[in-house]
Parts: sequence; C-alpha cells; structure tokens
Amino acid sequence: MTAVIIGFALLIFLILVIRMPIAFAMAIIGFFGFAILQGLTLDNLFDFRWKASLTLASNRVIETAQEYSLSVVPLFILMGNFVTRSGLSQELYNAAYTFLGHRRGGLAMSTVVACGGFSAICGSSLATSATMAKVALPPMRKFGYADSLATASIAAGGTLGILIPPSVILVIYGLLTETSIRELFAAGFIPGLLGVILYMLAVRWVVMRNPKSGPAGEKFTWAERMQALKGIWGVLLLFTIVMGGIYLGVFTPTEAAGIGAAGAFLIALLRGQLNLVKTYEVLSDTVRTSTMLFAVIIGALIFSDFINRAGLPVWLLEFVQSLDVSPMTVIIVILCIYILLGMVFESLSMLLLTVPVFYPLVDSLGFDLVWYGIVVVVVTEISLITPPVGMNVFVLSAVLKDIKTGTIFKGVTPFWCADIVRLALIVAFVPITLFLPDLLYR
Amino acid sequence: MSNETTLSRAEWLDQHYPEPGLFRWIAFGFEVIAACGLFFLMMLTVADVFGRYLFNNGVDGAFEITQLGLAIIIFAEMPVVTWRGGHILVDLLDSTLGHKIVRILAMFSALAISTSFYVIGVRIWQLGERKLRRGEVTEYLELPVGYLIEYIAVMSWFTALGMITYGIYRIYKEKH
Repeated sequence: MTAVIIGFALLIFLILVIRMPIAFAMAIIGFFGFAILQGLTLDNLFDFRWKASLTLASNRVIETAQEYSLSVVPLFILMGNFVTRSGLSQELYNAAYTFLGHRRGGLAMSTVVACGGFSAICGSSLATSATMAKVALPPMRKFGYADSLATASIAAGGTLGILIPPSVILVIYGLLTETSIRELFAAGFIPGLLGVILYMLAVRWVVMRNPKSGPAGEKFTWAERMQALKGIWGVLLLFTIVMGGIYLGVFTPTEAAGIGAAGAFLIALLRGQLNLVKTYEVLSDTVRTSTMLFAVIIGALIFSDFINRAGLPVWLLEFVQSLDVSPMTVIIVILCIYILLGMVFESLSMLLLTVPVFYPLVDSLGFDLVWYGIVVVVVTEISLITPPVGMNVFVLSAVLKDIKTGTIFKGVTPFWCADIVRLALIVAFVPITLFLPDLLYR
Repeated sequence: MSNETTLSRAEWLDQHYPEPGLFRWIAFGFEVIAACGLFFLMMLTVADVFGRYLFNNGVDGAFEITQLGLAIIIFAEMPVVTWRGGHILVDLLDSTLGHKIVRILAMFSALAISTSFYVIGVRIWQLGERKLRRGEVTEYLELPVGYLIEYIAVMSWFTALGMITYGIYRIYKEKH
C-alpha cells in the first residue's frame, strides 16, 4: 500500500507543482508504479525487465485508440460544435425569453432554460457557457441586470452541459466503470431538469432580495411565443431523434452520435453558416478536443491498472468495513472529498483520478453505479463553479473581458447552494436518478 | 462571423497554424487527415443506420471501420495537440512560480512527454510486428491489425520528435 500512497503523492506533486499535463503525469506514475509492483527497485534499475509494464501500457494505448464505444466522444463533440456554429443558441434564448421574460428575473431564468436546452445537444459545460454568454448577456445588460446575476446564471446554467444527455463525461464514466451508457444517459435527464428548476428558484431568490438586480422584460402574446418556438424546431427534432433513438434502443449511442452530428451539420448548412473552411474549422476543432480527451483517458487507464494491481480498491473496502460506519456516511465522506478536490482540479481530471479509486468501493457497498455516476457528475458540476478554480467562471470571464471573476463568483453563490440542495436530493432520493433507467431498461 | 470570412488565406493560416516553416505544413497535413477522417466516420454511421433501416442492409464491417478510423483520427492529431501544448494541465501555481520557473518546468514536461512517446512507440511497434508475423486480421473485413498498430507507433515517434523540436522552441518563445 505504501507504493500507492507514494504514487498518489508524486502524482499530485507532478500535476500541481511540476504542472505536467495530467494525462502524462498519470501515465508515467502508473507505468513506474506498475514496474515497482513487478519488482523494480533502485538496485536493478538497469537490468530490470521492462517488458511487462511496457506491454501493459502499450496495449492500453492501442486498445483505447480503437475502442468502439469511445467513438461517441468525437461524434457528440462534433454535434455540439456544429450546433454552436449554426447560431441556434440565439433562437433557443429567444424562445425561453418569450415565455419567461416578463417575470422579475425572467431574463436570467430564460438563460438557465436556454442553457438546459443547449445542453441537450451539447455534451460540454464549457462550450455551453461560452456559447450562451454571447446571446444571453447583451439582453440582460440592456434591461439593467446586475452583472453578478447575469453572469452567474450563465456560468451555473452552463454546468448542466455535462449532465443533461448527451454528455461526454458520462460516456467516459461509463467506460471506466463498465456501466451502460444508455442507462447513464437516461439517468441524467431528470436530475438535469431538477437543476434547471432549482436554478430558476435561485434566480427568484436573488430578485426577491434585491429587485433591482433583475427587472422584468417585455411580455409576449401566445402567438408570438408560438412563433419563437418555431425557431427551435431543429434543436427539438435533433434531440428527439438522438436521445429518443438511444432511449428506445433504435440506435446504439455511437450511431445516435453519428446521426446527431450529421443532423447538426445539415442544420448549420441549411442556415447558411457553413462553407468549406468553416466546416474544416469545426472538424479540426473537434478532433483537437477529442485527442486531448483520449490522452487523458489513456493516462487514467494506465494509472488505474497500477492502483488496481496494487490492491487499493480491496484495501479501501477493508479499511471502510473496519470503521464500521453506515454506507451513506461513506458516500458523504466521498462527496466531501470531491468538493475539496473540485476547488483545485479541473473537472475531467478530477473524475478520472477518483472514479477508479472509489467505484469498486461504492459498488461493493451495494450502491447502484448508474446512480453513483450521476452523483459524481453533479459534484463535478459544482466544482465547475467553486472558487478558486471554477473552470466555467474562468471561461466566462475570458469571453466577457470586462467582467472580473470575483463578480461572477459572488453572483454564483445562490446557484452553488441550489446545487448542494440538488446533490442532497439526488443522494437521498435514489428514484430521481433511477426512475427513467428502471422504466426503460430494467 | 463576418470578420472570419474576410481573412485572406495567409492570415487564416497564420491564425490557425502558427508553426514556422515545415511544421506548419506537417500540422496542416495531419489535421486535414484527422478532419476528413472524422467527417467520413460521421457519414459512415449515417450510411450504416439508413442502410440498415431502409434497405435492410447496413455497411459491411462498419464496426471495424469505425474502430480503425478512430485510431487514425486520434493519432493523426496527437503530434499537433501535443507540440502545441494542448493537453490539460493545472496552472494554479503559475503566478506564484513566476515565468522563468514555469518555463523550465514546461521544458521538463516536454522532455518527459517526448521520452514517453518514444519509448512506448518502440514497444507498440514491436507488438505491431508480432501481430503481422502471426498474421492476425480483423474479424470481418480481414484487415491486418499490425499495420494500424505500427501506424500508432510511427505517430507516437512523430509526436516525440515534434515535441522535442518545435514543442521546446514554442515554450522557449512563448510570452507570458
């Protein structure tokens, strides 16, 4: 067990202090850790037979690069990128605005709803925030919203991107834990809606305390609302086909992702937003993101080979059993660890570092791994808006250059509390998560 | 969007491929391969699904081609993403450490990454050769697996080479 503890300490050191890219830090520690378990010591450094460790790592590279179930990653990212390019985010916002805009804080609520809608076709939180910032902030400024409320609603709403399916993070979680991606996608839906509702309540709470922070916008007639809904039929259709196809078992996730990407490509093309160069830009951008993700996944797999071989999951289970605490206490401790880690780590790396450690424990304590996946993703969402390293807030302040991160973090507090409430609900009431997967597949 | 359309070809290249000389064209070439691969993968899936539901006949071996395509895409892009420093890292302490130390650390990482890719590439190549010797082919289309594995090895070496040349140069030149 000492090897694992030293391994973790070195890993954190490499990532935080040496600032080595996370993928390589995990791969290198995993590789040498495994070699040490094979009998590597300082004395036999030069005549050690490296072959076993090298083969293990090489096979991880070769197999992961050809992993069929991972082909959903580039395809879903592609779909999100095409939709982003198509300018549909504007229509989504308008549609939400015509329904909610006349209320106090209505524009911020519209932002949250539009973010939720955008998440339904985009699997990334950062992309959702960055895209919605461009369409949601100008109207909120026009109506004199406080910067803190305006930006926080975008930052918080954007976090929904990784929960509401399709979600890239859920796919990766599914791969690491060998959980069904279809069930994970089904499970993420209701907690995502719950997130939208709680965020809207958070907006309401802010405007109740300070009505000036979010004045009401215009009121629209039902005819106008229906007109605005027409603008988003493309998104609705795409979501229905892609997620409906997965839920009903018509497509595998990969097929749905391929169809979704092609559909988004068509929408962007028909809206006149694409030419050869722009299509190429979208494609190459997608490929870059995917490659980066694959590197991190490979690194995480090599690292988890090491900790599994070292027996960390078994040791952890025995340790927890020796403490004689209730399984729920264990979950709460794990969640606290996540919230602490979330302050420092970027979301995906946090997930990849921790899931291989905790999931065998959670599984043997009798929890459902689909449920745990959703819980982990919700905690990860919280980490995206938790200071000091809230990636969504950083992305937003990079897009909106005149707003300080401090302002956004201040405004985010009520949303952060809403997230904690949601987390508590999801942990306490398992059916919120498992109702849909139970209904559809079990 | 309008300002993007007015970019001249040279400006577009400068913006998207800031690498100097030869590296620019290598990066562009790799990305074209990866981008076309991804577009092909998308169309392949569509053709497969439509073929299956409309004509009761999907694309033969679509599963295998997807696996193959995925590996080609990811490893065509690997050198470019790596030498541009595109991998996720935690830069929390950057302002505390100062530019000089950050630069030295980045160089250290670059060396470690480059070495890793070189070493792992050697083993991957050997595994590829072994599969070729044994004549292993894919289940359905009977494609020799070894060549794809050797491709991954070669691209790993490209990544190592690019990282230790342009990657280091970029870190050296980078302004904070």
